[in-house]
Formats: sequence, C-alpha cells, structure tokens
Amino acid sequence: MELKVKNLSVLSGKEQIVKNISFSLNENEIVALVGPSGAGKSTILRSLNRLADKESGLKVEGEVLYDGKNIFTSYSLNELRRKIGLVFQKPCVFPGSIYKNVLFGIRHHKSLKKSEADDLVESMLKKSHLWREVKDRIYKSANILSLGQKQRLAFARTLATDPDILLLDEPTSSLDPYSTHEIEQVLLELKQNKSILLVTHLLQQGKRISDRVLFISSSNGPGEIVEEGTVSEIFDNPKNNETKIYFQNS
Amino acid sequence: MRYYFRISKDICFKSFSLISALLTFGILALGLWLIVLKGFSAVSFDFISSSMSQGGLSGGILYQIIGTFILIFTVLLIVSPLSVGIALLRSFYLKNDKSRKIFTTFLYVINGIPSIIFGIFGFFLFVKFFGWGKSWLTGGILLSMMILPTVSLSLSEGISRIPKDYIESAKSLGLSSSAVIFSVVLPQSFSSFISGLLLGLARAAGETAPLLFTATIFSGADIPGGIKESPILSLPYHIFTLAQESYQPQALENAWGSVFVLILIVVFFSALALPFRLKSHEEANV
Repeated sequence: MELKVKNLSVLSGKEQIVKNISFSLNENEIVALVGPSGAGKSTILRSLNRLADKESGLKVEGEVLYDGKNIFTSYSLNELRRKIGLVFQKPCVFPGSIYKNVLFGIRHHKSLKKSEADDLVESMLKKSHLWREVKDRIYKSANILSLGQKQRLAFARTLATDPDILLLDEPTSSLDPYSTHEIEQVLLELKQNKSILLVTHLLQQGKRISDRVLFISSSNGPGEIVEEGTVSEIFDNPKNNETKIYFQNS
Repeated sequence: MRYYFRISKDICFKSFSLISALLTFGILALGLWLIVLKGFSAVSFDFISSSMSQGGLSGGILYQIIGTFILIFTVLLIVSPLSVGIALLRSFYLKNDKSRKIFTTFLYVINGIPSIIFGIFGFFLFVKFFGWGKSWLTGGILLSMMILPTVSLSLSEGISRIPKDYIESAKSLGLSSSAVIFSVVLPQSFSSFISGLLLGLARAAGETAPLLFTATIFSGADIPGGIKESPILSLPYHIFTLAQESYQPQALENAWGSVFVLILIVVFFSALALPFRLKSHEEANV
C-alpha cells in the first residue's frame, strides 16, 4: 500500500513544528527520514499514526492518503493504527510473558484460537529474528530480555497486527552493533511486503538499508523537507547546503 | 569558619529530624504498648466469640466485630468502583491542568472534612430525609465518602507513575481508550489502588463520629436483616460507650480488650497494604 503525504503541517498552539511536508512512501521501499534533532522527524511519524493529534493535542493540517483515502476522515483510529504500525525508539515491554507481548495488540482486534495464537507468535518471533533466542522461554517474563531483544519483541508485537506500513522512530539508537545488524536484517526482509518509513540518526544505516532519503531541516523555523532523493544522490552528492553541512559534521 | 558553620547546620538538621522521628514513633509505641498491656489480658476466645451482656460489663464483642466487618465490606464495595472512576476522570478525562488541579484540591478538601460533619450530613440526609433511621448502609456510605479521596488519590498517583511510553505503545497498536485502561492502566496501577484501599479501610474501621447517630447502637442489634431501621453494633462505638463508664473496672477492662481487637483489625489492613505499597514504589522506579 502507498502512503502519500501532502502539505502536512503540525502546530503546537500557534507555533508550527513542521510545515508543508510532502512525500510519498511506495510499496516495498524503505525511506529514511534524516535530519538534526528537534527538526520534527518524530512529530511527522506520530502524525501519520495519529498519535500527534489524538494523544498529544497537536493540530495537524494537510492531507495524508493511505490506500488513496484520507487517514483523518476515512479510517477509524483502531483500523488506521493497526494498518500503520509505529515502533518507538525505546522498546516498551508490557508486563507478562513474551508470548503475551506478541499477542498484546492483535488480541484486541480479533479472537484467536490457541493453535492460531501459537502459530502467530512463532511466525512473528521468527520474522523479528527472535525465535531462535527465546523459543524455550516464550512463556517467561519479557522483562528479562536484553534491550535489543526487547526492541525485536516490539517489532514482533507490531507485526502481529499485520500493518502495511511501518513507521520506525530510531529503532536502533540505543542498541549495540549486533542488535542493530539483526534489526536491519529484519527490515530488509520486511521490505518485501511492507513500506517502511525510518527515522534514523545513523547515516550509515540510512545508506545500508534505505532506498530513498528525505532530509529535514529546521534552521529557518519549523521543520521542512529541504532535499529528497536516492541514497547516492543525497549521501554522495547533496545539493542543498544544509544537507551538505549536516553530513560533513556527522 | 564557613565550614564549621555548615557542619553544625547539618548536625542541627539531622538531630531535629531524628528527634521528630523518635518523638512520633515513641508516642505511637507507648500507645501500642499500653493497649497490648491492658487489652491483651482481656481478650480470650470467649471474648471474641460471644455476644455482650449486662450492658458491656460481661460477655464478648462478637456482634461488634461482625458489625465492623459489615461496615468494612460495604465500604469496600462502594469505594472500589467509585475510586476507579474518579481516578480515571482525573487522570484521563480532565484535559487541562487547571481543571485537574481544581478537582484534586476538591478531593483534598473532602479528605480534610472532620468526620463528625459527615455524621451530621448523613443524619439529615439518610436518617431523617430518606427515613432510613439508623442503618448499617448509611454508615457504609458515610465511611465510603470519607475515604474515597484517599483511595482515588492513591490510584491517581499510581496512574501518573505509569510511563507514558506504555500508554502510547498500546495506543499505537490500535487499542481503544477503554482497552488501554483495562489492559495497561489498571493492571499497572493495581498496587497503588490496593494499598490506598487497605489504608482507607483501616481508617474506616476505626471511625466513630460518622456512625454515632446514623448507623450504630450500643446494644440490642445483631446481624441486620434489611436497610431501614437496621442498626449494627460496631467496635469504635462500643469502645466509646464503655470508656464513658470507666469508673466500672469491668467496663474498662472490656473497653481495653475491644481496643486491642480494633487495633489488630487496623494493623491487619495496614500490614496487608504494605507489600502493595512497596510494589507500587518499585514500579515507579522501573
């Protein structure tokens, strides 16, 4: 499914956080959203999942089309959030077992027989590259997992709701290189049937796994996308001055 | 010079804190010691399993204990759902800080109202206006009103300690607000709720003033069969009446025994609350 963002602006009171954001996220591609801290990258992700307007009280203007329909008017919140999944920077593990965590979201959307639930847990943990490490303790508390494992569990939990689009807010920023590598492999595999918008500070990660890059800057006020292109266009031959300076200093 | 001044200031504050703590615990320990000393000898199996006779000079306190527990369970049934509703209203449905502050202040004000005022209010509303006469239900309702702020605020604090990430993660998975409340908020703040509830019940168990002219009598009641004109016996009122007859040694001894049993009930609820309180602090530090 395709996601089209047209002239998206987000305001906190009268202050604009981001303005006139337009881009599209095509099927089977990973788009990296990069830029300095405070430019509004997370705000954009939270707007696409409607956390910004519904939970944080921000005002969102513009149009976001998912499957050709406006997300603000044509979808219920539950349906939208199930189809546009969001994985946060800090992995959040709910109290209870690994098994329960994987099913945490989906069991609120549909009832599953025990065998269906078992299969789903196994398949999601495999997709998240976690099955091998936890298959003998899926009924044990998820709290004992390492940070990297918790993040992969968060992926498994989001994937269990079968989203078409994944929004990832710096999912590897607090992880070690091994866990980061594991998650990048997961993303490359997920790309086969999902669209992924990835906010990252790790430029090398953007180079390694993304197909296109959006550079956002807030040097002139609210965050704006100042440059967009393929990985080689943006990383090797940036045209915008702010993009150049950012990459030179990173 | 400045160094010595700072050191002596530190010592002064430390000594003041220590003396305050010792004074508080000392008075409490003295009270408890006196109750155990005087009350323990009066308590026997007969004392807690037989009903009162001769106007409290002999017999036991069986129906006073039962009455106290009837009040406690009535309070439990009334306060549990209401406090959850109030805490959720305060934490989720009051959108701006100003209305939340006003609401919180209102709860603290109710918490600070002297218990006799609840008694007077209950007397005019339930006993007179509704025509219930003295009733165990009036007592339960009034005690519930008294402890409702304590339990609601304890639960609200528990809810406010839940990391925002939990709630947002759940919402981002497409859970409705009610599903988030039942799957994340209430299970995560359960310890705070239970600890507030048990401390509230401990306070309710020892209250006399709201029950004086609304729910309890000194003698002539057992297990209530209805609501109207259905008073009960209760330990606080029993102690209050016997203490007024303290010139009679037997009455005084029974009063001490009743105090000992009441303290045991209060300590039981407070002790039961302790692990939940510790757990809620642990959760807050995760």
